[in-house]
Amino acid sequence: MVFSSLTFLSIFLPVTLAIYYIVPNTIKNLILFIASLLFYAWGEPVYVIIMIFSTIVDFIHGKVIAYYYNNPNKKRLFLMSSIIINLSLLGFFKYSDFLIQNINDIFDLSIKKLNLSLPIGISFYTFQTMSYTIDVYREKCKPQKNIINFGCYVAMFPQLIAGPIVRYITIAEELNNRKENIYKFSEGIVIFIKGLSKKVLLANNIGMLWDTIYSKPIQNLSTLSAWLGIIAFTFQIYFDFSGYSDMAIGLGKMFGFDFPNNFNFPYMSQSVSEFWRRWHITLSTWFREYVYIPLGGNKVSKIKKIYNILIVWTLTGIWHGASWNFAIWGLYFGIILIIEKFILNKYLEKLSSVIKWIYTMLLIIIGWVLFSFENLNNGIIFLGKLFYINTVEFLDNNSLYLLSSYKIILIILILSSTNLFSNILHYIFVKSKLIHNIIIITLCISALVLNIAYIVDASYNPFLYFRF
Amino acid sequence: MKNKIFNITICCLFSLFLILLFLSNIITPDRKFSETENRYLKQKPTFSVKKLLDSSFTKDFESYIQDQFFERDFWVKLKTETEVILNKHDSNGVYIGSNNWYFEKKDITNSKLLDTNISTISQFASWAEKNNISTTFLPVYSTYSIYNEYMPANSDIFDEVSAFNYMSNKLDNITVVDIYDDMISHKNEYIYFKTDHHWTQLGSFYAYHKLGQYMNFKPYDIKDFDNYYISDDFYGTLYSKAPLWNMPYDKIEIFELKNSIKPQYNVYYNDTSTQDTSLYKWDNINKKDKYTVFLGGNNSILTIKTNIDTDKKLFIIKDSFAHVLIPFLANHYSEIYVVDLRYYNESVKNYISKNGINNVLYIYNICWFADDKNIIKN
Repeated sequence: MVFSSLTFLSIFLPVTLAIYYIVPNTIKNLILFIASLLFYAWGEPVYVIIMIFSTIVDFIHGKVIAYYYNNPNKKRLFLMSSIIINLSLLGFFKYSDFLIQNINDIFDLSIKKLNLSLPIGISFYTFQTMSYTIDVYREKCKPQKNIINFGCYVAMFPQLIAGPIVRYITIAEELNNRKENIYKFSEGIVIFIKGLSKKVLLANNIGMLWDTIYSKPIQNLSTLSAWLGIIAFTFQIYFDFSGYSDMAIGLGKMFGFDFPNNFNFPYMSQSVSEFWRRWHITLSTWFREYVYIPLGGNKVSKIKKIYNILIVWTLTGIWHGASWNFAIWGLYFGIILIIEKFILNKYLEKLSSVIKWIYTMLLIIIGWVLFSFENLNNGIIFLGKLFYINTVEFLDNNSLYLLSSYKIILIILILSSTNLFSNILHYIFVKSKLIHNIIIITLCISALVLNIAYIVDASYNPFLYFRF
Repeated sequence: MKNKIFNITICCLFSLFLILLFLSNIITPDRKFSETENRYLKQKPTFSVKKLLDSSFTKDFESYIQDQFFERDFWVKLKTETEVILNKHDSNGVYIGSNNWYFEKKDITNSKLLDTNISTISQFASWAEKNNISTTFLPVYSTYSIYNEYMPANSDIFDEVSAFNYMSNKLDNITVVDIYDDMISHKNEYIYFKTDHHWTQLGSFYAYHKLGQYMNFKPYDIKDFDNYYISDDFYGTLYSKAPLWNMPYDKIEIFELKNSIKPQYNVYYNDTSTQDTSLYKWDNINKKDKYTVFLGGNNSILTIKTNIDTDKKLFIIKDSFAHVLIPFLANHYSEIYVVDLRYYNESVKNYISKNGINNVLYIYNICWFADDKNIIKN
């Protein structure tokens, strides 16, 4: 089930919210857990078993690791067990065909692929359950005694499918003891509507432009077409993913949970380092806490640090997809981050904001080319097109037509990628709370109406990060 | 907790929204068919454990909710209107031109089909020539080729004029009739619909006149016809895909030979085994797709027999653009056979030989011809 669907908005959400708020506090988590299982099973009637398995396994591991709090060897053993089981699940379902393909290529074999379909959200929930066992091991939190509560954490439908990656310690307190209130609920509504609009009105729209260009034979693309295409993708992936995160955060608030923010206007960044502090924040946080720091973090020699950064970023890339272009994408950023950290930053500081921004956006867009072309050959050809290498035309009829058709949408997207609107709203709030409130209410109502119109007439409602 | 009234308002509005959405599923009865979209709507799926496990139940259920959502037509209109405001030049496969013109946005999926179809027709014409059957081809231009100035600029649309030249160069044993100049010289008249991808019967009248020169019949003058509007509230196929508020209607004009010279017609529809003495399906004027007044829409094969004293028989292989033209042609042949290759699977050559037909006419819209997968069945 997808949040931006009529089934979710007109059936699942109203019924779940109604039941949740009617039942007494003691069984609220149970209701949320059951609803989340139904939500997941709706899309994955068979693989829901794996998620339940992962839940039970890590619930038991958490208890056992805490039990052996003064037996370091046993403690470590069960930590390893949890990590191995989770990574094996993830590896098996997501990476086995990738592994087979590589073995076939290297050793010239023809082992048949398993052709397993990827259980939705497996990259997210395995990372979440691992965060639990690792933090219990580190004694950062007590183990969860109630399996329903724990199941609620793992399966919670707002963030199960596409994040944010919520560490157990973030919501441990709220899991056991939370108070829903009108303030949080209304905050959640506004954030949810914002996220829904980002996905349905912005991402889906500009996604069609990318799709149009991506479906043309790559050799015939003009430079303008290539730029329009990759800019479209740049916007699509941001508004799609951050829209989904917003919806998750908004829904979380409706049930009394505070999930961490996942995006902070990443396209306003003035350096690639800054970009990665603003993009998919919970993923970078996870990799820093559970991979980079265990590898030594900042407390090691320069050489080892560089080595660790490269490993972490390659893994980050590979997490996004079982294909070499993702690993290269991750490595690409790892290298840039190292160069910035050790060499460039002191020079960057002296440059104007505009130049820094252009530098950053250029590198990000090139990154998206690597990200969106699984076939590296095509990726390189496309990159050439961007810079008028091996390209027949700079402009052509088709690209001029598309530019004209999408120019207003593109302007809206550019402005929405910045904090312009939120600054304006904040300014209005300071001047007159009443006018601010009226504007927000009007925007929410209009947004809901428009979203329904676009969802009803949806010929195009993909979700990019579903491969996770 | 400041701003309490605001928070309560938001919560109430959103709850109301969810309640309305939920109730809308229950309150509105399920529709079976959408006239606006010209398709059957998804019905409530039956439940079975097997269907649940292979995900088909959930997919069907979601389509069902989507298709049966209340006031679906209103929402589609709202979305199209928004796209126009955002200055998008096309929506749902339709170009939205200036002056209330819609144009079909046909993507040519397979560029080889044009050559394939040309060679199929060529082979047929060779066979026909050996059997003393004359073959004529009437490629019909799409609206955008005649009214190009109302199309959005720079659209990369299929060049029908070049395609026509290409086709007529390659087809040498078949008469290819060019009506481009005829259409252009009459473009100030109502020769194409604005909300439908077809031409009007008046437009086909001018083609009919041109055909007379090539197919050896003397076409009637326009004054030989009674012509009148049988509908002034027609919204065609293109409007259905991209409806907008305040879009002016199209009108449907019908031509009938004056009673003093009109022959008797007997139209036999194979698919429904029904007969008619009129060339027009008058009842269809009450349907959404009023264009089906012309020959009742799509049939695999239909036969028109007249009491005209001639041994000329005509076999027409066509797409829907022929429907307005055929009532004119019916006045010059004793028998006309009309075949649509999308639905007709028998051998065309056998049929022609068996019935002693001596004239064959292909009528196809150029864009559709360049993308048609069924001609090769010929």
